[in-house]
Amino acid sequence: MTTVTKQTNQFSSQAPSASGLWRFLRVFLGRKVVIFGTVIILGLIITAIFAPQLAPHDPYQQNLRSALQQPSEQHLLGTDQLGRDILSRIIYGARVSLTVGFVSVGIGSLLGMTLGLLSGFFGGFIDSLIMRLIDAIMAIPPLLLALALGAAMGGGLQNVMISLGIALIPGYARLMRGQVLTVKQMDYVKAGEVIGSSDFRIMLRHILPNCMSPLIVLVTLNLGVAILAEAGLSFLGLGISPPGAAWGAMVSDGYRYLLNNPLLSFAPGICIMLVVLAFNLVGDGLRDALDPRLRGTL
Amino acid sequence: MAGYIIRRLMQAVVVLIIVSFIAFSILYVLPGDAALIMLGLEATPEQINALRQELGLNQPMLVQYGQWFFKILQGDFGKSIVYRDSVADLIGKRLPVTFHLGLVALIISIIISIPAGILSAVRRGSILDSVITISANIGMAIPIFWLGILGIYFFSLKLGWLPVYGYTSPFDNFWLSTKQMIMPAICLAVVPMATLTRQTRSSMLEVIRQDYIRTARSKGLKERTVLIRHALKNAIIPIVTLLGLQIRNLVGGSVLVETIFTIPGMGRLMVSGVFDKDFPVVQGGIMVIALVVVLANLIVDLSYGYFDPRIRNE
Amino acid sequence: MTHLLEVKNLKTQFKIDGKVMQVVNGVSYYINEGEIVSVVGESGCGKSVSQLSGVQLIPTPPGKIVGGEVIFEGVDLLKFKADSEQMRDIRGGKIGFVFQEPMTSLNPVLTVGQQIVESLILHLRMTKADARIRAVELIKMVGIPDAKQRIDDYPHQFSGGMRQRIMIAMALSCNPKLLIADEATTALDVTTQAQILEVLKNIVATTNTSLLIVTHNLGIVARYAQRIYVMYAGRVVESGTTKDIFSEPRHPYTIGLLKAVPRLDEPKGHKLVPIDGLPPDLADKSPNCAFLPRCPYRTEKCLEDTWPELKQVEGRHYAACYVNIQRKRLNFYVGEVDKTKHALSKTLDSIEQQAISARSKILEVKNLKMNFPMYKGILRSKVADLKVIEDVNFEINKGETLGLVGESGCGKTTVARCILRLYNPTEGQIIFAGQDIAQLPKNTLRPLRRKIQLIFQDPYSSLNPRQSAGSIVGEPLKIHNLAKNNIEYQERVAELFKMVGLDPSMKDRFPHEFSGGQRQRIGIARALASDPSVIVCDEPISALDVSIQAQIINLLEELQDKLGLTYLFIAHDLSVVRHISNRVAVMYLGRIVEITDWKSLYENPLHPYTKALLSAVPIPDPFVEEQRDRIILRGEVPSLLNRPSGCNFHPRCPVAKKECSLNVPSLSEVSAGHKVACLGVT
Repeated sequence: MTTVTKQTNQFSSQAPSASGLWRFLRVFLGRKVVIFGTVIILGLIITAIFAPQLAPHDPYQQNLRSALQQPSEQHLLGTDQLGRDILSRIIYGARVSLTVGFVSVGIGSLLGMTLGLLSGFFGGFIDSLIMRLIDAIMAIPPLLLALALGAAMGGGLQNVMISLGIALIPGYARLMRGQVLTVKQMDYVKAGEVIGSSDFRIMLRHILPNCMSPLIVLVTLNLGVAILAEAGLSFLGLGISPPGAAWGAMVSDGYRYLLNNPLLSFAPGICIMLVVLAFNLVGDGLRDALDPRLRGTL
Repeated sequence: MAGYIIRRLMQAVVVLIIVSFIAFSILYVLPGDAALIMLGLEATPEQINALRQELGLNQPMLVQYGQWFFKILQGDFGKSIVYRDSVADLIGKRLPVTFHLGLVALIISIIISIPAGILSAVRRGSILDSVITISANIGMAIPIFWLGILGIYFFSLKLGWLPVYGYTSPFDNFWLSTKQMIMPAICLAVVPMATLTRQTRSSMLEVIRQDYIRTARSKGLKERTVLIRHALKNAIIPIVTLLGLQIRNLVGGSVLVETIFTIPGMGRLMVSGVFDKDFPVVQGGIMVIALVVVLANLIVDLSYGYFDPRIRNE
Repeated sequence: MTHLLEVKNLKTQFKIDGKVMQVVNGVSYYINEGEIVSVVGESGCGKSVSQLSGVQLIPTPPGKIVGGEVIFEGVDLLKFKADSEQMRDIRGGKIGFVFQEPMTSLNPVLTVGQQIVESLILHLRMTKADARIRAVELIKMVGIPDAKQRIDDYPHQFSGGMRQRIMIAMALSCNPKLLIADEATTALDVTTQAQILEVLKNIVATTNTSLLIVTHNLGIVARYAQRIYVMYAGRVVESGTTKDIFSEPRHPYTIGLLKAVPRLDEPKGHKLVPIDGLPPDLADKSPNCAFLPRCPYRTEKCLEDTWPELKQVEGRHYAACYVNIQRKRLNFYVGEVDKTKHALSKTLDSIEQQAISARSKILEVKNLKMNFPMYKGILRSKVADLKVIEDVNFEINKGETLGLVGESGCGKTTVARCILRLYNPTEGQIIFAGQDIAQLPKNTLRPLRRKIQLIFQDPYSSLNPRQSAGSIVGEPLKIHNLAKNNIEYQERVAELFKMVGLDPSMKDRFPHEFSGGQRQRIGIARALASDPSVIVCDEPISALDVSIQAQIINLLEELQDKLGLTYLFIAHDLSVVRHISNRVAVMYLGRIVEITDWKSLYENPLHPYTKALLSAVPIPDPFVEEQRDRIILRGEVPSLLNRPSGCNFHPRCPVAKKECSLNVPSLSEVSAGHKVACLGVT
């Protein structure tokens, strides 16, 4: 008995170097592209929060006499067809994108994860019913769904967020369900039952925490998807109504004036691309950093 | 296998019924009077009433649903408020166009993304891999409509190589049709290309780690044989799943592409239907699109049996 | 004489997580034509990587061969590039491989025939038609029934044992000179293992192919190998003929292994001597002997000098150790002097047995049946029942250990799960603490769960990766309110840690920070937390290294003595079961076929299956193995869906009679406490 205890102390010195958090950060920030993405996202958040401080002009201020001007010292990106400063409108547009992104992903993930958890845990009829509902939502392309709901409920920003949220539900529901089904097979869940845990305790303590990793990755990736979708919708005319500044709407506006000031279309498009790219890269980075195969001796 | 097919068919039917309910109830989510909204504020009470009669809006909801559903089954999607044509006719004219666009985009994306994904996986960590991966990442981030506008700016306005808009059936004028198709199809193909490339890459990487690849190598097979005969055949299975999803994206993306390039397809029909509050068009459109998506997914699922022998005996 | 294969000073590195690990650190060995040689060691010692390096099959991003020569038929293979034509000719053509995992080593989307034919076409340049004929011959040779039809089947349509045979057929298809079997039978049942090894042995004998067996199982080595190389931490620490090494092991590691492994012929009460400490860290660059921290024979010289070179002991026997250890082999044969001791131990055994039987029954299982519904068809309607357990009856007395053995598919794990109510038994009674708990509603069951616990097989999936070790161990305390306040809780958790040999200061660490053996200890502590009277051990050591297994077995025995626990010990390893159990039950296809005390089972087995099972287990002693009879069973364990009529065992039974296919034998008492279910015996 004593010999055995001695050995465990010996192991302490052989313990793997870093604690969980350090390890995670080391892998996550190990790739340059991930750092790039994180920086952009932080930039986006700061821009959105401090838009009034950062924008050089009032984004709604029209000045028809200086419409469609080329970039100048006063207007770094030029002006749009109503004389408004493009740069300021882009800065304010960050607010719309970010809000739509977070709210719609919030709605979709909460509803989707709940449905997935119920579906996976209880199985049987509930599972079939929920899955058919999910299939139905998935059969309608998200853009179309948003359009149709927009037609019905009006095209405002609120409805765009709700419809995007609904369109995102299936991704979470399916992923969560898949995770729950896998985790349910694990011996530690059975151990929970053997030691006498209640169903609720097992679901909360053993199943849920072990399902979350890929879902966190999905949330990050979906933020990019939502922003892209919002841009598409505002391009088509749904979402924020004029004179509100949204990147997609700006691209649409600029379509007519390509030969006058192409920046009106190009600039917001580049922003959309950078932001979505950033979320994708960060999502990928998270996926690699959370991958259990990379964790220690597992 | 037969059981699997029949089960999938039944699931598809259930899904379509739920979709039809969703499509139908859009009308009922409306605050206010549907007929009034459709006709606009200048409509006279008689016109409104006439429309209400025509659409059967005075009856209880379930009855209306039943009537509508029954008509749908017969192919009668009602009449468009705006065009005064039968919705079925409208869809009939527009659907082939979108189909053409989607098919070309799908073929382009498969031809490029699968080899790209394989190369990227096999030469993991090389510059080629980085280039392909970064391109795929960018491809997933690019707004399609913006890409279209960029394309128009450079290739139409500045260089004059390609037409800005328009659509011609390939049966009428093949060369013109192709020139008009290039930009829209490529725009539409970007997202599926990017997604499929990433999926092919990760699928191949996953498969290459497997024990049976080591066995294949231990038999002394050429690396090329190992990759194509052993690895790819297994990697293709999850890729096929993704194809089903891409079909849905193609339909959705066509909404934007058709708008920019002024192509008279289903996408534009839906957009104008939404903005004109032309509900029969919107409802009919959703049903048909959902039908196409569900069918496409069904075909994909059924083709599993060909790719994965383990399913065949289920 | 030139060797068929000679490996000289091979060195292979792996770079993982920024650390460079010297996985193969200067390994040399050789094999001649027609020989059977074994490379022995535990996981991580480099035995597999050495073989893969030889044919340049290691994955080269993390791996790299950094030195040495691999001379095959006079040519150094390492001179060629990994993907060169010369190397590929050797692979499959001259050297064939059989890998460990039959379930994942065959391509699931190609037929078995296609996978064999491609080899034949490549190396032997056969036409497709000829290759197909040859492929059918090959799988027939390895014992696949209905070869002509099955050649076009897919791997998933075969069982594990059959897939391994197909792998062997594939490896042999091009008449290689050398066959390397890398843990080829580890994942198989004991009887299947015996069949496969006999097939290999026959092939070697008839075709003069050399066979290199890589394994950790000393029994297999003793039975089949002519020469052995023992590896530790990437080096060969001892080599020689099988008889030399087993009779006079010289390296402390080899000695340790032999002392730590339970044997079918050891006396009862023989204490296993585990090897202290943990497996070596391959990234450690210290020049000393890697076995030093665990070595009971170490001297000053070992601390000062570098790793010892292989020194000749005698003849072909080499050992890499500074200390001149003289040890005789573990001899269990009773000589003249020991006869009295033997008689005394016999009397003590029977007294102990009677004492145990006189105690009360603590757990009784009666007529247990467990069916699982099978859904098929369009509407997923129930078409049949998978009858996993047909009729199981046994009882366990307080303080004893009942061993439950059987191969895959026999239902032993299902029995465990039924007792623990992870499943709801279809029929039957489970009487515990005076109640029938078989159908008790979960709420009523909960307080009773305190008293009966389970230790799981897989130390990796049995602990919640997101729960700290202390929290895992203490959870039962929380659930059943066994600690009045936090102080008491912490004290109890610390006590439990110490009881299983873990340092209580590690309670805030997470499972992935512990080794396999330590995780199993955490699992044991969790099972002990609610102060149970019965613990069901479901293959608790199968997933651990040999040297660690002994540690856990000893721990379980200590705990039983100290706390008066009762065990239901489930395993497929007969030597382990014999070591730890008072009584043993043998299961086959959902029924108990024989149940008796340990001694009678192993010295006087009555059921033909038990006899075959015992004969299939190799004993790590070549001298004993030479004398043993081999009973090789026909065929494989049948699928539960195709249960043979009458006695389930009759199609494979060497002494089956006509009535065996008609009547189901019931478990009847043949002599005191010895029950058998066989028509030929009762």
